[in-house]
Amino acid sequence: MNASVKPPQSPAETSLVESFEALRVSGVAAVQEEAFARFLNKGLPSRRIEAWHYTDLRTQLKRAPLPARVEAAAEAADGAALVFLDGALVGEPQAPQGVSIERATAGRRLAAPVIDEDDASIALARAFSRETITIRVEANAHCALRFVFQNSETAATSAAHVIVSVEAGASLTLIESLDSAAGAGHLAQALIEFDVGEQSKVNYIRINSLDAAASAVSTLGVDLAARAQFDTLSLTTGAALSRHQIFVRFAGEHAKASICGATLVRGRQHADTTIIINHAAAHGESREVYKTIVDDEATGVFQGRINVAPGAQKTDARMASNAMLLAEGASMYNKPELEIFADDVQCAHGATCGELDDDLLFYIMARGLPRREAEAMLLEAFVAPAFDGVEDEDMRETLMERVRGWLAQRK
Amino acid sequence: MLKIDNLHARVDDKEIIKGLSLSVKAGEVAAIMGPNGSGKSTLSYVVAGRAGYEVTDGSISLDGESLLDMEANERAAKGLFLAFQYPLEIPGVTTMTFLKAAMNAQRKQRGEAEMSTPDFIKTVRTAADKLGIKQDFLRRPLNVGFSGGEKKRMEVLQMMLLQPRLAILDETDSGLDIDALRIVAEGVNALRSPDRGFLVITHYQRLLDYIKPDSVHVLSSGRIVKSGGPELAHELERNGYRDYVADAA
Ligand SMILES: Nc1ncnc2c1ncn2[C@@H]1O[C@H](COP(=O)(O)OP(=O)(O)OP(=O)(O)O)[C@@H](O)[C@H]1O
Ligand SMILES: [Mg+2]
Repeated sequence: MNASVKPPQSPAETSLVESFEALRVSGVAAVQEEAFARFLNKGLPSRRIEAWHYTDLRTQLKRAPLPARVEAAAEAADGAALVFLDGALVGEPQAPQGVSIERATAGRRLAAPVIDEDDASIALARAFSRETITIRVEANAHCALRFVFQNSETAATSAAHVIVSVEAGASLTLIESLDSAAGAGHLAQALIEFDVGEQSKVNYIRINSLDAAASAVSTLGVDLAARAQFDTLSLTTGAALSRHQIFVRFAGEHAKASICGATLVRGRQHADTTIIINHAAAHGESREVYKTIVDDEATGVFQGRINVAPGAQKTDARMASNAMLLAEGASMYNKPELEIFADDVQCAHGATCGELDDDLLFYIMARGLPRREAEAMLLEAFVAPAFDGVEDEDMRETLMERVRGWLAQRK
Repeated sequence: MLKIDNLHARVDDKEIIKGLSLSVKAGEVAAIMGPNGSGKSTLSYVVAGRAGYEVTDGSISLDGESLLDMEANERAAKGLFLAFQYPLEIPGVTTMTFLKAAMNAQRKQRGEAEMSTPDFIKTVRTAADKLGIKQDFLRRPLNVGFSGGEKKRMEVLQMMLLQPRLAILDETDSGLDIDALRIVAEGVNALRSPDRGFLVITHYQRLLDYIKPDSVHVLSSGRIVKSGGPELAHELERNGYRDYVADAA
């Protein structure tokens, strides 16, 4: 078969064309047009593309709604929060001391991008991003920011593009939340790129509690300079269909990253986390701890790849993904991979997929806990290690509280 | 208070309890002895309500109420306690958290108010002291990395806190050193009361020197083949089970 022969447009692709046309009415930049052309050339990623094998957007994404109309929402952002409504930054956020926030038309790029520009989902996100928000944390500044991604009552296709540049010696704590109105079938896209300077430190927590009717496709790119440290954790309970892809490049020596997450899905939710760690410099240390709980007929996907380049000696990379299936109909695709081209490295990965232990459940029930509570006790303990790296105790408790809330809603 | 009548139970399609009858009265300590594999632990699981242990005939009741349709937690809330022969490890759940969850779950099911945290901590500390359990064990995940004897003490601690109506102790003495055996027995004796019953499963007369039983039963091939007073335990210690095993065969 000729590779250039494209399959006919899927209903989602057709609706994306309509949606982009609606966007054109209010004006799009040349880079958006160019990105959309690249997207159209490839079409939505399907299972034929290895990186998307378990999440076939082409068929699983049913329909992309029209974009939201651009009405500058008057709602003021509180404190150091950047509020995005349907992908668009609301108002003029107040930058805390040592931080500058710049809005520019779409199309900015990192000097050395780490994300895979061949990925059609990234081209799509660029096409729908009206502007690029650039946040710069000055050298040696210490600050905290919040990203609040809200989606309105009416379903919309949206995208946000943010570049965060953390200069040498600075530190940033960023908490991101994603929410949407009940029942609205949004397609919420995000492209967030971090340029983490020498000896700087980033702590980034992301909580996806989108409504179960929404779809979310997001990409995180992280470029680490020497001795930089990047810790991130994402808790995903939301969205009918979600794909969160993370690209991390160890560009400078002695950098560290910890990429952790907990994904809890039920009903017919489908949640995909795909991580690509590129160790391009020596003495890097990477850790991934992912916990996935899949109930009902939901599907969890974890793909994690660690690449160690020839020069990246003394790399210490460890990846663990553990899943717990709570129902017959639940599925998990757990795929860790290592590709090592350096000889003096320590790399390990492990993936497990299990069920609750009946013997343990009986023991706990025999002490008086009803089945669901006994299960919740074990599941909480299963998820908790993903949050071990969260230093702020209140934040850890907030995250655990959300996990408990999810568990308490089990039928 | 506990009444088991003509009980037949199977696990994985294999009948293990074969027409067992036994009763324990309020205030009574009944001992069960029997060869390895005779069905003692299976009996304790069936009484406690473990899934997969199917009762095919007979009855089990506590205070006149049938236990058979109750989940394990409901039986616990009614006052049944099982000290496991092999206590399980629960990674990620500290002993303190576990104890609190168990106490409150039972109270809730009985319609009682939760215990306040300070009261709870005080109660746990006092009981742990009595059993020679160091406080730092309470902060560790339940039973994880505990020695065999430490796990057994933890079972007794749980029993002391939960104050059951009827406690089944499945070989709680095995794995205990001489001092621990005495401490654990004292713990049990302290709980003895006219309205509480005990079913003590053991292989050794020694435990029964500390916890003086009112009755002794021999379990062989899934049935009680002989019942008697404390002297029966002494006789078994001297002669072994050969008379009873032969009977059952
Ligand atoms: N799941 C199972 N499937 C099949 N047979 C089983 C199962 N569980 C227990 N048995 C068998 O049932 C019999 C009774 O086991 P049980 O553990 O009740 O013995 P016990 O009297 O407690 O022995 P011990 O003194 O060694 O603790 C044994 O022969 C055992 O192998
Ligand atoms: Mg046994």
